[in-house]
Amino acid sequence: MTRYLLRRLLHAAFALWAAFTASFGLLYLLPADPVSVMALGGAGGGVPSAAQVAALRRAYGFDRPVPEQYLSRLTAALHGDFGNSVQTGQSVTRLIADALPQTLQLAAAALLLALVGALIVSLATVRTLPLPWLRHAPVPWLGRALRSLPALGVSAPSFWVGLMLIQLFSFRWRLFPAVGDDGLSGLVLPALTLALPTGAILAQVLTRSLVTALGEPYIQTALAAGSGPGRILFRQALRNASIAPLTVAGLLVGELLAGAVTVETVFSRTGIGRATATAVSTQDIPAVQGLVVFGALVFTLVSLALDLLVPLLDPRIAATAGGSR
Amino acid sequence: MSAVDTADIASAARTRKRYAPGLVLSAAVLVLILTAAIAPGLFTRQDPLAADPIHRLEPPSRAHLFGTDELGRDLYCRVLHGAALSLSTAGIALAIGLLCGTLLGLIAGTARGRVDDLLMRATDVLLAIPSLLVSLAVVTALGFGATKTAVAVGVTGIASFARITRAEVLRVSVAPYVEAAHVVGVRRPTVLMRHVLPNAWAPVLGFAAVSFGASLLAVSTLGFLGYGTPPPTPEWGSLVASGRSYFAEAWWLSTLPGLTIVATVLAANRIARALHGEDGRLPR
Repeated sequence: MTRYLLRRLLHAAFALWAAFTASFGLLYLLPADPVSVMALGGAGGGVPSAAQVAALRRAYGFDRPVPEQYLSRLTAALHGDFGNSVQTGQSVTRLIADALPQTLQLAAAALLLALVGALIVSLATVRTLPLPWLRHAPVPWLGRALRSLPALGVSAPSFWVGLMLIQLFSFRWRLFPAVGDDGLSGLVLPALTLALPTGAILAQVLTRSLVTALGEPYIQTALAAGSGPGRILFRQALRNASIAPLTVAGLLVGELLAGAVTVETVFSRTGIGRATATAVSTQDIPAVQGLVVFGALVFTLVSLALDLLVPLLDPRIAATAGGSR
Repeated sequence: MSAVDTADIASAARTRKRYAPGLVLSAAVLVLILTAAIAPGLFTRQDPLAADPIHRLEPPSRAHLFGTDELGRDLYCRVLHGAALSLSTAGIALAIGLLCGTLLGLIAGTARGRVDDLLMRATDVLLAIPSLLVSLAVVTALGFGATKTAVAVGVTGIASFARITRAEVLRVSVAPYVEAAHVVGVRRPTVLMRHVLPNAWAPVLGFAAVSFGASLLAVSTLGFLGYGTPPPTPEWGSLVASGRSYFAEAWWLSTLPGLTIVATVLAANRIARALHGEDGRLPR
C-alpha cells in the first residue's frame, strides 16, 4: 500500500510539472512577442511606447535566455509564486486565493445538486425497466423520456441554460436575483446551471452501472432470499453500482471549475471563473498560467484523493492495488 | 447466466426500431442547418448586417421570424448567416483533433516502448487540465478570432483521439492477418497503411462523429465569452452573448440563437449515436 501511495504521489507531481511546463511553453514561448501582447492588452488597446515595452521586458525577465527564464519561473512556482498580473499588478496567487471561496461555494452546491439529480433520474429510469420483480407494468414511453433527459442536458450550452433560468426565474417570476453573488438565493440559479452538464453525465454513468448491477447473480440470490424491490435496488444494486459514478464525479470536479468560467460570466459573480475570463480577455499571461496550473492542481489532487478513497469503498480494488502495484 | 441477463436488460433499454422518428427529425434538422450554412440566401433575402432603427427590438412575427435586435437587424437572418461560421469552426476544430490525434496514436501504437510511454504521459497531462482551460490558454497565446478558436478547441481533442487510435492499433496489430502479413514479408509501413489503419478506422471515426456536438458547444462557448470573430459578423455564440444586454425586455434575443445551437447539437449527437451504435460498437 505504501508503494502504491508513493507511486501515485510521484505521478501527481509529474503531472503538475508537465502542466507547468506545457503552459510555460504555450504562453511564454509560443507568442512571437509576449511582452507586446501583454502591453497591448494592459494598455486598453493603446500602442505602448518603446520604453514601456523595454521596462516590461526587463520586469518579466524576457531579456534573459529561455532556460534561465524557465528555471526561475519554475522555482518561483514551486514557492507558490506565479508572478504578478499585468492587468492589476496584484500577485497571481493572491488573485486566485481571493476568488477561490466564491467559486468553491458555487462548485460545492453544484456538485451536490448534480449528485442528487443524477440519483433521482437514474433510479427513476431503472424503475421503468421491464423487471418482473419490480411488480409494476413497465412504462416504455416514460423510460424513453427519462433516458433522453441526460442527452438533453449535455446538448445545451450552459451559458444559454443560465440565461434561460434568468429569463424565467428572475425576469418573469422574480424569484431569484439575476446577477450578483450575495446570499443563498443568489446561489440557486448559478449552481443549477453549473450542475446540469455534470449531473447529466453522472446520470448516464449511474444508469448504465445500475443496469449492469441488476444483471448480476447476487440480485437473483437476494430475490431468492426474499428481499423486497426497495431493498434490492438500494442495498444491492445501488451500493455496487456507485463506484464508477463516484470516480466520474471526482473527475468532473475539474469540469466544474472550467464551467465556472461561463457561469460566473453569465451571472456576473466574482470568482475563479470570472478571473479567468478577465485574464484571457486582457491576455494577461502570468494570470492565465497561474489559473491553468491551478486547474491542473485541483484535478490532480482530486484524482489522488479518489485513488486513495476507492480502495476503501471497494475491497476488491484494495486487494489488487496492494498486491500487484 | 449473468451475462445473458445484462444483455437482456440492455437490449430492452434500447429502442429496437432503427429508423426512429427522432432520427428522421434529427436528419431533417441537420440537413436544413447545413443548407443554411452553404446557401443562407435560400431561406432569407435580408442582409444580416442591415440595421433598421425603426423596427428595433421587435418580437418574433411573420416578417421577422426570430424578431429583431437592438439595431433592428433581423435575428433569423443573422442566425442563418452565422451557421456557416459556427459549423465550419467546429468542423475545423474536429479535423485538427482527428488528424493530430490519429497521427500521434499511430506513432505510439506502432513505435511502442519509450516513444509510446512519452506520448501517453503527454496525453495524460492534456487530459488532466479541464479542456476549456486548455482552450483559453491557447486563445491567450494566439489571440482572438474564428480560426484561432478552432485551433484552441481542436487541441483539446488530440489526447482522446490519440488514445483511441493507439488502443485500436494495438488491438489490430495482434490480429492473425496482420501477423500473417508480417510473416510473408510485407514491409512495415505497408502493413500499417493497408492492414492496420483500415481496420482501426471505424471506432476513431465513430468517436469523431460523437465529438462534433461537443466541438460545436466548445466553439460557441468561446464565441459567447467574446474570443471568436468580432462583431458585427454573426456567430451563434456571440449572438447569444450580444442579446444579454437587452435580455430583460427582449427574450427572443439570446433564446432563439441558443435554441438553434441546442437543436443542432442534439441532432448531431442523435445521428452520431445511430452511426456509432448505441453501445459504442459500429453496426456491421
